[in-house]
Amino acid sequence: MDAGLPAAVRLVRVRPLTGRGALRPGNAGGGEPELRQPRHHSLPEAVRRLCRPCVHIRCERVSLRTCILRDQLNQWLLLTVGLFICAAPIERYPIEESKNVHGPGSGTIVQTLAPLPRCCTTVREEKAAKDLLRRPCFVLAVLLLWNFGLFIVDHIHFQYNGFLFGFLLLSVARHLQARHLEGALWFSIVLNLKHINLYVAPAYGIYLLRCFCFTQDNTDGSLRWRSFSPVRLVSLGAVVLSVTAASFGPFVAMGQLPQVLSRLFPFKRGLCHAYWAPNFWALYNVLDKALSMLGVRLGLLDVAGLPKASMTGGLVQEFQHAVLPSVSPPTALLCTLLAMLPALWCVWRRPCGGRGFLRCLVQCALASFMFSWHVHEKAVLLAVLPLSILAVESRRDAGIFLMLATTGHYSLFPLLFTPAEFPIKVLLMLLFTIYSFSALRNLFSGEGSLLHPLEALYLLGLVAVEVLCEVVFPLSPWQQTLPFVPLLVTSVYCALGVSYSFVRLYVSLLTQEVTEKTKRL
Amino acid sequence: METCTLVSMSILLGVLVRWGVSFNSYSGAGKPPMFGDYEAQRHWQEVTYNLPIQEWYFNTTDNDLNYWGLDYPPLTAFHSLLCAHVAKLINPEWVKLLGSRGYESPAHKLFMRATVLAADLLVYIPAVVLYCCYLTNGSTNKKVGTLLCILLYPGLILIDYGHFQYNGLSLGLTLWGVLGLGLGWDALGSLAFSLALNYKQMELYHALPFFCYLLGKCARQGLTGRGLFSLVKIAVTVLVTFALCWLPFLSDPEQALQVLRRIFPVARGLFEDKVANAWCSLNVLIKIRSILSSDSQFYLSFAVTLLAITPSSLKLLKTPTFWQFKLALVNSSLAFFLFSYQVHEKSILLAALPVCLLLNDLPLVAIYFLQVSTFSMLPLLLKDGLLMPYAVTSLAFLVLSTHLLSALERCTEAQLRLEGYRRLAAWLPAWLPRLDLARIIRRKRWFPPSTLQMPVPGTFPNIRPCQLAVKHRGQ
Repeated sequence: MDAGLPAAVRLVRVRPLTGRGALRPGNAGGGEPELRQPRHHSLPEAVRRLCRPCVHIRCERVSLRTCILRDQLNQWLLLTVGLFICAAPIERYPIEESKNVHGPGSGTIVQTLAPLPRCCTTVREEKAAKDLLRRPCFVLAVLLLWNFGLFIVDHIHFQYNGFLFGFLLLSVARHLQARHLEGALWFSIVLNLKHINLYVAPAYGIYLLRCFCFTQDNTDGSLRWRSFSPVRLVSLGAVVLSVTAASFGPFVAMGQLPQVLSRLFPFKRGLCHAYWAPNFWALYNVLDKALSMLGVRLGLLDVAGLPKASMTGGLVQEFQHAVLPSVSPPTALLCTLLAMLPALWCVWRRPCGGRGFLRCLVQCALASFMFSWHVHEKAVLLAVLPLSILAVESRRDAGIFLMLATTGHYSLFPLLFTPAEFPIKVLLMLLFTIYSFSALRNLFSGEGSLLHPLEALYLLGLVAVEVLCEVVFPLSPWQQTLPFVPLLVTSVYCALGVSYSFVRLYVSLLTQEVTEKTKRL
Repeated sequence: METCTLVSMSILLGVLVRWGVSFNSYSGAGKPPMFGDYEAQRHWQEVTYNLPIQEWYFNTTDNDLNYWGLDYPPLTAFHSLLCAHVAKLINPEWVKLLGSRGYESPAHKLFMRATVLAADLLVYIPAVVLYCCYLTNGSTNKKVGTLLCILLYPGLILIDYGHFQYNGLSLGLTLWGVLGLGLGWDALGSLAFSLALNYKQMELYHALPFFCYLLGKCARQGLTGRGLFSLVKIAVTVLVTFALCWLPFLSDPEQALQVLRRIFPVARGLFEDKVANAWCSLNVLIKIRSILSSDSQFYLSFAVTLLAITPSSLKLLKTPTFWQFKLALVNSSLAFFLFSYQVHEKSILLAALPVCLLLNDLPLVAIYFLQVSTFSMLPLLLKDGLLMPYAVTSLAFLVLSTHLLSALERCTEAQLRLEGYRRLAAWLPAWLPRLDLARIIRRKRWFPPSTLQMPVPGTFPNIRPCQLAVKHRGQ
């Protein structure tokens, strides 16, 4: 990347073996450009004097490149902002109130844009392409900003996820830059803003404990127990607790904590959300339904004894399964923790730097999405957005990203159900899908195709599902008698894709672990 | 990225922005008794569906011409009839004779917006794509950039999908005409333009360049040999097209005359409302409308318009090249807009389309004009409650076009300082403002907020079209 720089300047990239900013075996892939002057306190004075002007040059060149990139990015961002607001004025509200819709939307945009430069500059570039459109950081910027799911959930369905994901991505970026305390601070803030981020809290906990509280590794990359730093643990605890105290403090003082917690964690709402997030439980429910129907047909079950509740009736309530065992909140929690365990174990054993943490974060988010209690479809974004960062760097991750993103985004379609929104969601989905496929294929051209033919066939099947659910079914006679069928078909079809991505991510994580082990032997 | 990916993304983005704008209010929303253009289009569907063809353009008990009577040529009526058939299938209440006046509902709005989108998808957008792919110079990225900029031109989007009209259809057919002529398919080009003329009579603004170009081209080929054959072919195409469109009205001369009376209302005066043309601006200083009689006004505007379009038309006759044709289109439509009789502010779109075709060749001037043309329609857009879409689409267009077409890199400093205008201003009185782009843009930025507070006549935007008209005549 810096082949054009003189040798003296390239010297600066070598970090000292001990002291602050030390090169850790776990950080083998840490080629992230430092935007600030690195601290070389342990270098001899003479070398330091030699390197100082070179450091300035290097920093200037890096920051100039960043500035140019940022300038180009800014123009695109400005356009994106414009086009965001363009699509925002949707008349869900009476004409008099529609003027109020614009304000909150623009706030979301501003907050989403803030961490973008940070995330983009942490992306590794093997060879800097001249064309801006082909650069990984540009592709990442577009994948994050124009993420279809985020766009429709925030600006149409209406939430503030962009603002929250901004903080989350900022926290991730800080961890990738090895600024762990700051990352922890941002994560605490985002956790206290929306508790869905508990899905990824175990990843943060284990990684910070492993890489921040234990300051050194052995030469083979395993944990050096002696390097535990109580000071760091206390500082981390202080950061997290102070943010939590600021957030919950007033309610604890008023004695309202149990009520707050019961509002935050409403376990009475049932295993599945009304629209059935495409997770493991959706498949479980369908299997249970299918088995009960089969049982009735074969005369093994009594129709009168079966529970009558409609699972996709839109009512938030608990219900029992007919054939398979019913699932309770503790069971769901146990399944989630078991699903996260291998990823957490991998990051504990061999952190592999910021990228390893990111992979673990994605895995935890997806595991929680698959097995948690009352998961909303929107939660898939918690896995898709961080996966974008990995997708622009590795071909395998790009393939998994395409599967997960396309399927996850399609599962959000039922959120926009009015006829007027139909063109918007289809157009946006097509735009994002075409771009992501094309850009990622260009990034990894020459390394083989990103998707297996069967995967491509599955994704094409989404078109058929859409036509079936939104065009054919409403005109059919079953529209009145079986109104839940489109939702069921969408959820089950997408659940297959999401589960497949989950398994593939794990396979990729574990095979990477095995490859690293064999390399070391 | 491959061309087809970029082209498809540009089209998707163009359609997305259009549909996004369509969520906003339309002309005359919730304003009885007359409502606006939206109600006019709905009313034409009602009239064409329920009444026999002979009564469409006449004042009868069932067809009150004072309530949005048909004042476009027959093809618009046939298009309304087609839409009415679809409307009847969905909800007959929408086209119920006399009972559907002022009908407004979210479902109906969705249907009407969908008809505009369908027309654009079938006619305008394919024409733009083909024009950019085959008749634009430069690399693939430049062509796609031009495509995206033309598709995102705010004026057309705001009028068609906001105010509510079907300009995309007539401009699309004209563009097909330009495409045909550019690719050497003169007969097909003439057919398309004849259809455009039969859709909206304002396409006459573009007629003279088409005529001069085709005549010049035939003359070049030799009026005794191949040229004559081409000329006859074109003439037959045009006549047959007109005959087919006017067929139901040709049985009775009175029918045809009545249609002509409806589409050319000479009794309405030199201009109506506030429009950014010469007469409205001149009226601020000299009250022409009160000084001259109606007939004198008509002859004056006719003479000045003819004077303005003659040079470019003669040049086109002499050297019928495609580049000259495009310039003549701009000149002719702008001259008509500035000096013609009964010009509406929306007619600037007729000048905007040829300028869009020049985006790749003269990016700075074209972008500037397109921004100004949208700005000149601001009072109309404000009346329809379209300030937010206007601001956003204009900003997006400015940023995107300046960046994609490298407008600032491809212009000279002299152009930025408006050298042409300065040379002209040197001959004129000293009190005329010495303008440059920076000053104009600064003033333009302050303008929209002030228009919100008080009604300001739209005279100021007029200066810029004048400058550009001068520049183009110099080409």
